Amino acid sequence: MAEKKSIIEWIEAMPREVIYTIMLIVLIIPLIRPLGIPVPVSARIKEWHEFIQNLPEGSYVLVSIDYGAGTIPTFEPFMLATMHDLFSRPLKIVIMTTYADGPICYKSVMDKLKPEETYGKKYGEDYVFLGYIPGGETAMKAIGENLPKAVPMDFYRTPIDQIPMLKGITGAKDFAVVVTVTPSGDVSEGWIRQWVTPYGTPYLCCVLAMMEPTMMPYYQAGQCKALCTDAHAGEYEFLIGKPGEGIKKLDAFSLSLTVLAILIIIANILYFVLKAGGKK
Amino acid sequence: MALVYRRHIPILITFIMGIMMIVQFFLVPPKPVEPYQKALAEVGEALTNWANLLAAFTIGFGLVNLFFIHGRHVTRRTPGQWYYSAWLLFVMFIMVIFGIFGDEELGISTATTYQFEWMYKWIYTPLSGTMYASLAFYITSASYRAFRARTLEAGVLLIVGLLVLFKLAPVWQVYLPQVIPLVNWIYKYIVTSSYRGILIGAGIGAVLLGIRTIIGLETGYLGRRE
Repeated sequence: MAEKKSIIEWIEAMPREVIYTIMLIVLIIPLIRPLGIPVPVSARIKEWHEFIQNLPEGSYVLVSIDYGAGTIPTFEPFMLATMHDLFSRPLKIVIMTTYADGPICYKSVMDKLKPEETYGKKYGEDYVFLGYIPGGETAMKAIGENLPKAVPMDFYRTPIDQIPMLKGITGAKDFAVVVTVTPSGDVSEGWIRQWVTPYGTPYLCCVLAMMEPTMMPYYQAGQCKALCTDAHAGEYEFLIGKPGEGIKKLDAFSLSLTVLAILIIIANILYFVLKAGGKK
Repeated sequence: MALVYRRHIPILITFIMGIMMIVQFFLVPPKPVEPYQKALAEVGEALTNWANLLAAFTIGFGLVNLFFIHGRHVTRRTPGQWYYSAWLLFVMFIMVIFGIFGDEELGISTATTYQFEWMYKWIYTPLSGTMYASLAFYITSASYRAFRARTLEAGVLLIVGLLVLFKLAPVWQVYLPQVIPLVNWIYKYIVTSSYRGILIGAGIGAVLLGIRTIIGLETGYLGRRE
């Protein structure tokens, strides 16, 4: 017959179902009833915002929506906040994607942004969507070298030479900045290899929080002018005064990470208690 | 003769294309001036666009491949598999049909037709997001069990892990701001220097792999040897 576990032993080896339940409760409560935890604005997000605000009037910006359906809940708040920031300025915005399901993500963002109604922007004059460009890094290289040749028509099948804002645009050297939001290391580093290194195009990159260390060397070397993560979405919305999904999730994010830290600390204390008692 | 077709010709094509891309990268400036630079730039652009076309083609190829693999499971009634394959084929068929022949009243590309978008938005996206979000539960459970200060190294890892958690949680950025400079220091000096080493190593490895592929020593891309 198995020896009966003490309460300390049970907590130390807590069944995963109990941990899942605790985490579920911790995530759901702030989503139903926000706790109103203050929103900090970090230096990174200020850097991102200031870079966009300091772009000269009429600058061309390439925005690549490099995420798919699985990461829409994670990345869309940040992408939307970036679009608000960009569309609030007199810039020429060229949008594309290297993800096959990127066009759906584009439409989802634009349905919320409503650039015509909110900012009075016109498709073809102030912004354009090139659609999905297959090939990953090769696609980045191709549009950097010769955009009209690599993408002869936009997503809505209008020839590039009939789109007013793209007249005279040849490639990477005409763009003031390239912006990407992506969960892929190949994509985030690909833009550096294909646009930043050969053409010196300034680069803003938003990745998953767990990918931040992989992009830090590029950020410190100045190859990436601003580096943010999906976790900055709430801060960005707060900074530009466009509260959305990001801010709503901040309380759940704070609470779940705090509970995770507390659980880890409790597990370690109990581990040492059991070890002192000769049970480990 | 078969060896020539299967091995020597592909290696020769790889060699010529690889050398062309290297020459184009190193000899052509962003604004080509000399006639030879312009010619090389043209060749480079053409090859890059070919690669993009091939990448687009592979999507269709993948669709056909999936159809054959899962079609075989269905026809052979593979135990424990065939009904999943049948469901996959059914869903794939539905998505393709609505993607191509859906509502075109907006006059825009097929990928945003109403029915396709509806299925994508209300079926695929929540399912995909759920798969991704379920990681939070697994990570919590795994952290609870694995993050134990059993050794000195594990203790250091535990402390740094907790500091990063505090840095990421907005609430602690407000109420415990002292932790941020410390984590930033760890990121700036320890993490970045480690990653630089990894990146430089991977970069040198990629150069070597490229050279070996171009000169025909690396032939994994040719498929199975017979």
